[in-house]
Amino acid sequence: MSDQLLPIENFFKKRGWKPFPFQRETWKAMINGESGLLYVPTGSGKTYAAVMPIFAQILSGPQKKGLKALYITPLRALARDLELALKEPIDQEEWPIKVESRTGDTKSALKKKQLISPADLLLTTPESLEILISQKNAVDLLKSIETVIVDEWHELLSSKRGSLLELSLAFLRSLNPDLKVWVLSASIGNPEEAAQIAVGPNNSARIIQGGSERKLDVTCLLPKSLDRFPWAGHLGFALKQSLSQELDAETSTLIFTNTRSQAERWFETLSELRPDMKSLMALHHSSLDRDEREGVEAGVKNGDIKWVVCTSSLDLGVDFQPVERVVQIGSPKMIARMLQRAGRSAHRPGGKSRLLFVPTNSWEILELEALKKALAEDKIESRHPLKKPIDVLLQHMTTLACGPGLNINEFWESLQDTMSFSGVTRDELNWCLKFLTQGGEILGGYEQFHKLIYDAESARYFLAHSKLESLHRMSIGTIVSSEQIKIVFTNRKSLGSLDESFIAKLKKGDVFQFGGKKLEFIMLSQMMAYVKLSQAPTNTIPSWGGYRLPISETLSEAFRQILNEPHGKLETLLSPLLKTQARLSILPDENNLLMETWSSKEGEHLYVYPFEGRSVHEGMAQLWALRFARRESSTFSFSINDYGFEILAPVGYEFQKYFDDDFFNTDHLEIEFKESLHLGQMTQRKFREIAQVAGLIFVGYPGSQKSGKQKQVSSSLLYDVFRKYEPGNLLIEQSFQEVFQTSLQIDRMTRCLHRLSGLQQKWQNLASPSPLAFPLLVERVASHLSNESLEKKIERLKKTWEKAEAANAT
Amino acid sequence: MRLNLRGETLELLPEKAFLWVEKAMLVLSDLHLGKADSLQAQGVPIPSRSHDDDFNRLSRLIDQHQPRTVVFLGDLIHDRQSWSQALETRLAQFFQDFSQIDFKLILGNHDRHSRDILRDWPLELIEDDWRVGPFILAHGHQSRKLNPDDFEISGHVHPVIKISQGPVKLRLPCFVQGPQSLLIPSFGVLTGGLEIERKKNEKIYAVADRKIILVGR
Repeated sequence: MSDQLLPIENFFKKRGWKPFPFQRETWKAMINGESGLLYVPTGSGKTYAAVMPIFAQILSGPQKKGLKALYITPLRALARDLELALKEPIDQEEWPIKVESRTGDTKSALKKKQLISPADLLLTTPESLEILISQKNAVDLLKSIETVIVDEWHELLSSKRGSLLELSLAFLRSLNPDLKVWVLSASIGNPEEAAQIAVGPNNSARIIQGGSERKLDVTCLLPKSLDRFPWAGHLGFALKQSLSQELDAETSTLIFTNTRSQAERWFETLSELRPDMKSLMALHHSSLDRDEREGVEAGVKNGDIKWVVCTSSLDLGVDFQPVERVVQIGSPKMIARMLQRAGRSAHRPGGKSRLLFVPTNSWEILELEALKKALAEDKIESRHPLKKPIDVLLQHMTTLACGPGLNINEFWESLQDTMSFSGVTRDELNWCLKFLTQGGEILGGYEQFHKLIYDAESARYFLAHSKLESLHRMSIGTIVSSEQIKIVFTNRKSLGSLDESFIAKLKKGDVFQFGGKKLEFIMLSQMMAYVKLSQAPTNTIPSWGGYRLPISETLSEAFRQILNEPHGKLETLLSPLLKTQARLSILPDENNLLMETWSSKEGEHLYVYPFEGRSVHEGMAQLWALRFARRESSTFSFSINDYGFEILAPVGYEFQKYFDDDFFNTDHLEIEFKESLHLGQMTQRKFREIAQVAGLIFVGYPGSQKSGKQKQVSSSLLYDVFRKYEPGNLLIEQSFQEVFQTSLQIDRMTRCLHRLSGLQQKWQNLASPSPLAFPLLVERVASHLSNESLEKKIERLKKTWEKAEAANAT
Repeated sequence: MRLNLRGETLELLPEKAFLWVEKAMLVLSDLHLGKADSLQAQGVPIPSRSHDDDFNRLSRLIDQHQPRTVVFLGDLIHDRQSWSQALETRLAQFFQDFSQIDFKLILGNHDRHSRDILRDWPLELIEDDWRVGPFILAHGHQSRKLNPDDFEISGHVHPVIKISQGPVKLRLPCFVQGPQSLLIPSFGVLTGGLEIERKKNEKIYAVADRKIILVGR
């Protein structure tokens, strides 16, 4: 056995390297034919751990052509970098091994060649693998694969990309039952489950942990006193002077923000405060043009760029050897995210990560305390697979019909080999098949629907015609985005892209900031917005309608625990904030549930603090409003954040009077939520993505000049039609379940309600908003719950217009 | 909601059509019949009976207002692939039910693909526009220069107005009245809409469920 590893051992020996124990362990396990999960910090040599046995087996095996291994990464850039990194030992040792990458960037001529004479090891993305499966010769091409490596598995596994990859892996296993699957993951709370998802429920998974967890040095940039430090807010400019003094011009630094608009603003602010650094500083976020971003990444690598203001766009990606320091502006909301970002510095075995935390409001100083506590106790978030996303299932079925053909019994077998889809019932699969062959239950027999047709000879379904095949290949993938407009200079040099809805609001001559530049809007033509540089001052920064991640369950638990604990060195700094809370109201702790009421001109406010994250609070606010409305009907609006929620009712509403223990009831949550009007809107928005993944809406050829509004059929139309004609439509049900499970985190809410029911309730009437209530007051969201009809709402609007017009007339 | 335009009375109907009272003429636009059938052929499962609502609403309107003439302002049929058996049967039934009525179709850009088929149906085809009384009835896909006396009534755009105030956000089909023009909403249920930007000299009449309302600024 270990003879096979000789060339590898020699390769290490020649360089004076000594393999880490976890590397040797992985090599042996892979040579033994095992599958599993490798769980080591980034930059500790996991690539060589995973790839070397593949090389060893290729070198010792018979010289036969064909694809032998896949290495799957979530990022195209990683595939390309890895290709270069792996070619190094191959060239030096003159090993007869062919390594190639195949991603969306690969030239089509090379892609065609790869289908005829494939490499030994192909580096690819989950989407490109799915496109390989959609090829007619997929079986011949892929059946020789012996090993699959999946990198950054923790990033994939609880997303639709992960679900799609599960289906791809099950397909590969159906071609080769001895397939080895190894996944590489950063720290995660549930490594066993993560491993099982990758290898399939019917195989055993080996878990190898190794490499010493890198030392992490977290410091917090503190204001001198909390007197002038805000109670609310997410930008964090109160500390801009301190940060700009703290940053070192010679130290390569990544400055992480939580949103793109925050990154734009911080980039602008730092450029103003440190004009000396202007040419050494860059901005990096996912809306910027890819060439631009790659330029920045290259600049960091070779040291031309010292500071990069960035977003999650740099959470993953190529090794940044020179980076020595990471700054995090605002709470990272997850322990895993903080570790991931901190890990971007000192990217080499044994290095020490330095992270500087910049709180954006007083409460975030406590969030950092909670983060440190959780880290000290070795706590980290778990990630779970999605539960049978039907849209992904439909997409993969179409992929199979596009390529080798879909045999429904084989497919049913392979679903049992996944974790996300093993819960699919035969009825549900039949529904999917009917949906693809006849358009589902809603179409009558006389209709002329065409998508999949059955070929009796091969007992397989195929796509009805080749045009549908090319359309499908173009829409493979589960990442959906809203309509994007390219931002270009008049010479057509691209800067990036922005939401159609933002561009639509611009008029000629308007100036906005994007990519750290001030741009004057000239015109919109064929899905491109033409701009030129401007000197005019502007406050307009595109707003990206992203979903704000809630504080994680693990972190919020730690937060509740530390609220009333001593805060050590921070005691003096924090005591004004906490004392004010205690003076104006009560400082809650783990054992009580604080409910504050306050009367203002706006009406009656109820503030509740479960400290369970914004998703749970959003659902709970709706649920409680619904329950209040049943006791005394009224119209409510909400506000939410990670600590609690506010329900606002008209003047005179007596919250405490109508409250009882039934508010903690969790028996019929699903039924109660289906009553809620707001949930209908959320479901319809979710359906938009689902319809796209399921292949019902074709978004367009790359660079297509059709705008979102000109699409053949809109998702809202499909939503209405499905709801009207087919009550049991699984895609509508999925939309509801996604809102329920993902957006509102219903399982977490259920646990939360149980927890709250055991706490002592503390009602407190406020004379003025407490420090905890204040951020909620500031961040009033436009959520609304009422049982008014559409007509009534319009009547109400009309009255205000009439008033305005009467006022104008006088 | 009644408008008085150039001395004529137009009653805007919440069913997304209008009645020219003096002429007993019902005018509607952009049905896009057969769009469901056409989408099916492309693999999108929209049932043909989605159009039942269009036929039912139109039949009800005719029963209720008893017009002498019904004018379609173009885009009656979505495209060539729309001509399914289901649509032909339904359409034949419709024309039989209302054989006493004088139907006119001003050809829209979509209808041009089915012009030869449409010739066989009991309705008068009008190529460009139709001048009648003080009005020019047109589909609206070709821009024209209007003389000071002209008043154009057209469809084509599928106008929708976005109304938002506080948490209430609505997209409503609408009639748009300019100094020399009236734009009418699309009648078909499967037609979607284009959000319009209101100009200063325009009045917007939105269709809110069973009512027409004048939208304030």
